[in-house]
Amino acid sequence: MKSYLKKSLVLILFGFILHILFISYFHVGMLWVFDRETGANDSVNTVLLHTDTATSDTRGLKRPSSDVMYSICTYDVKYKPLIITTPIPDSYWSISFYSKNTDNYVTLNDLDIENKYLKVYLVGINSQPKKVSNGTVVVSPSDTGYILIRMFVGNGENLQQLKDFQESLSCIEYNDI
Amino acid sequence: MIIIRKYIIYALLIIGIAVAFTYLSVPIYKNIVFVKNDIWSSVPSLGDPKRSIYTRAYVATYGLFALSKPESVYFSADHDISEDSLDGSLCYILSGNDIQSASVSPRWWSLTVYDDDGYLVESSEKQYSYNSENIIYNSTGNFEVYLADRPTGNIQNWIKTPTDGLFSVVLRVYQPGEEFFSNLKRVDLPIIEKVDC
Repeated sequence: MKSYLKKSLVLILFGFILHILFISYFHVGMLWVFDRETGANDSVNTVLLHTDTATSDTRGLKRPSSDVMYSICTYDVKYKPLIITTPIPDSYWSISFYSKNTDNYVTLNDLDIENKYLKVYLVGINSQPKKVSNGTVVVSPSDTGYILIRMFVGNGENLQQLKDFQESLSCIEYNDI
Repeated sequence: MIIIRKYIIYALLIIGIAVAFTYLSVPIYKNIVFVKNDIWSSVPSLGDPKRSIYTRAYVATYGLFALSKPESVYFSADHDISEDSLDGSLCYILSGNDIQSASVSPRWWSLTVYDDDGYLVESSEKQYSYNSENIIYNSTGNFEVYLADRPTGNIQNWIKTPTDGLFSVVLRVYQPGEEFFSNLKRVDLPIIEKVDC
């Protein structure tokens, strides 16, 4: 009887550990699907994609917003920082930084940016640049991750202007290190 | 052979127990973490790096790249004020006060309808949502949105719902301010009620 109880407790313990592992790494599987559908693995340290507002054909991300235009950069700052530049519109705009486990560790919006022009140095723990000028430094807690830019389309009157802002986005490696 | 079979049975039992824990954890998680406000439920800071592994898994399931406080808060409703699931074969009116004119003043907000799989509902009008700038307010400054699979002549704001199956509505509120975040349970949000089609 004792042996049966002991075995049951061990099985429950292992089951609980497996459950915790599944929950802990569930996002890895979802990111794998996202990377595969967007081609993120082949487009590191560059602009991965710009989107129009989401439609019923939009896949890859669940519950997309149809009131926002997105731009996505993927990054790897293990050896070199990334420099992100773009002019920003007068309407709501934000840039959000996500570590490789999808944590949103920094968000800047249009009210945080002076002169309507964004210049961010995204650095890794071991890839700090010698000098930076006229920009904001953001430290990524992981070597890899994602950058998501959101632009509110409002009543849709300035869609073309917002697309022009999208096209001006640059995510490139910073070589002065 | 008998030993291998024994270990296979143990492995299957462990997987079964893990599935049971996962299945049981969903309602427990929702009861503990979700903030309820009438028909709406919300997790206050979905993208926060200090979130639990359960919140991270929840976000991965329903949105992947969520924002955190103070940038945005997301509310989700999958039932009406009678606590019945939102059903695409029925018709509803979502009505509320202008969220921006309340005591709190978010930067902007939007209401979006999703099908049971979390995707936008196919619509020839491509009107999947309304936001604080494109919604049509009535003379008192409030708004109504008709949620059904076909429009009605009475209400100008219409979002198509799936012809069959369940659906949900997500309310996004951007830069709502600290007061809004500290009153998530009490802040004045729209209601959804069934109407005759």
